[in-house]
Amino acid sequence: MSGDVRPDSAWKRSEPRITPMAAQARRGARMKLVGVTKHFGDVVAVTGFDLEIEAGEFVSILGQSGSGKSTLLRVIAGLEQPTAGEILIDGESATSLPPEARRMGVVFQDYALFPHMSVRDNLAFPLKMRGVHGPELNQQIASIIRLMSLGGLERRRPSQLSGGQQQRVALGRAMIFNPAALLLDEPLSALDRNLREQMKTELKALHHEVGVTVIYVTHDQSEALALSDRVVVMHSGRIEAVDSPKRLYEFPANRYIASFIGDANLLDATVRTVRASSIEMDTPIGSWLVPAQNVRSSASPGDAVTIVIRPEHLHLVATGLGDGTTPSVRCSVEQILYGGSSTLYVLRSVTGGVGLQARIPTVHAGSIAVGDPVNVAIDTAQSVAIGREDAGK
Amino acid sequence: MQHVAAPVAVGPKTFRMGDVLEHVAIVPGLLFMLALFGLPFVYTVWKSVSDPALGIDNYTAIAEDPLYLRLMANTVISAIGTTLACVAIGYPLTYAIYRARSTWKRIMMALVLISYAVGTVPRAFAWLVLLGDHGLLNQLLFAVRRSDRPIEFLYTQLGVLIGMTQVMLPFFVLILLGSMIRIDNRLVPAARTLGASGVQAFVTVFLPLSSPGLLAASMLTFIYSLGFYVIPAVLGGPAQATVVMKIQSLVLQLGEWGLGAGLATLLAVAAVGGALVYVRTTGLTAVATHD
Repeated sequence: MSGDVRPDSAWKRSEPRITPMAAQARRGARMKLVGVTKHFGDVVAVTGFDLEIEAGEFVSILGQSGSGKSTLLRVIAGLEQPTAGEILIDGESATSLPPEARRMGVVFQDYALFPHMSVRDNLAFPLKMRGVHGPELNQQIASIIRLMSLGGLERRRPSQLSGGQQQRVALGRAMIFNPAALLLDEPLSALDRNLREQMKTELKALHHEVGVTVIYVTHDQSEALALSDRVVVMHSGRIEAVDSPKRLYEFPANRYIASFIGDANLLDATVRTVRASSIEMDTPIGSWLVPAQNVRSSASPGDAVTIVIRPEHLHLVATGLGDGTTPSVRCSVEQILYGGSSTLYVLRSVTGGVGLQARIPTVHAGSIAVGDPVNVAIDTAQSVAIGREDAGK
Repeated sequence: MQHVAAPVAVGPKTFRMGDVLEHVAIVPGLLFMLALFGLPFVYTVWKSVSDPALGIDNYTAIAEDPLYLRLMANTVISAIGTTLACVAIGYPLTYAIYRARSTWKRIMMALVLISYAVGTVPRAFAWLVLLGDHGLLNQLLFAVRRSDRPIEFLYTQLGVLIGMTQVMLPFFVLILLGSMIRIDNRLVPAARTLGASGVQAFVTVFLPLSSPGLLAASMLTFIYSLGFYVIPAVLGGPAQATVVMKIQSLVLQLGEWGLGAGLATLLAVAAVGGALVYVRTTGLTAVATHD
């Protein structure tokens, strides 16, 4: 991430709070998954899953429902036995360990709080199972109640808590025994939208403070992008891509990622000439140079590729203008989707009839109406070329 | 439960069509209960204090004859024994059905439902064949025990217990299963990830959560068992005679309607009293109202 730009005073104020926590950051475990595969009868839920996770890293497993992400989480937690493959926690094989011996703090989708126990008893459960009692038990519960801001709710039953409170109890219960890693299965999906945004911020702060290794399963890309150090995109039981959120979005590795993460304009193109720092591509809406580092496939003249341009890299310019370096495409406006801070324009090029989408900050949107002719400038430096062989996916 | 359709104005005099319909809908059931259960019961109680003469003579007769006390004790002992046997066999069985994957679950459910569907009378006579001195069970036991002396199942408390338990078991399992399947099936896995062994997870999570269902099923089994007639009549001896058998002979053979009605009233009081004690001591109401 581009470095923290905080005012000096704020940084200094928070420093003493962060330093002791930094020591805890070492507590998270390194994890390694080698060829993890899980079949249910004839159904292949996960296949050949390889991933190394650093201690204290926040990794998201992003995929649609049925992609195998929840099964993978259950395999890591020890609730399902893998058909093949190895799970290593801090270098030691955990594949045959029962769940209670793996030290994985799991937060289930609907939290799975024990309905017959108070908040306090829910939090105490993992400690009691480990034989912790007396003053040590009380002290650890008190500290987790402080950390999760659950003061005053100790005697409540889960059914008497709000969704956000239940979520915090579930997180607290999963963290109280200093797990090797936290496994979160769609933890925010049961919350309403405002609370979800708030919990996202809280989760990020919590991870920063506690420093535990986190594996976060979600189908919501905005959660994955906002929270993670790295995102693993899963598709029909396989890893489709592993990358930082920024690279995943800005340099998608293939067509699936490009269209799954965020919106994208996908253009079929052909390589014309290859130069040292850039490659010239022919597209249905003109030819332009794609920076060499943005070319994610083999590119020799004549190769068919797909060009990915995010809608925010298309600009609407007044007819007749253009700086010459970026191609300017004449389009007509087919639809305008107002989205608050930004507005999405659905466009069609006059020549070739190619469908395009442009996302313009609403403050710059001006007064364009449906049916208007517009000139679209393409920020070609931001375009990415990927191989066409992914087209079938 | 929340009412989905809330009225616009909420006042004591607000007319709500839904409320009226709700009440209309229970009328047939109410009439049915009143005509076939309420009135006969009131009539029975009335009979017990008016036949042959107004007064409590029937009750003093029951209190003075130790036979009735013994019959009452027999009845309660058999009911308690049946309930305990159902808990011991039925809880693990229900848990197995709850845990089973689809095919096995269906097979086990089918077996429970089929045995539930077969009436008490055929089952009682089937047990006669199985439990006789030279019945199937004793034949098998001869081979196992290397002895020719049969175990006396028939006309003993053991035979009655076996028969009653077998009749009550499907009933018990169905009630218990109904409450077990409402337990979130991720709670035990959650307990495992939090450090509990399989046994610990069962004892600390599953057992407490299934106990309201267990209490309800065993209470209903007990009350139901108080009214057994066919099984003790067919499989038991004179020593296993129950209150219901006595009521039958008093009323149908001796024409002692008043005495029979008195016994029936006492049995009903025992059932209601037993249920009340049970609910109070087990906290079943607290669980039921919280649900």
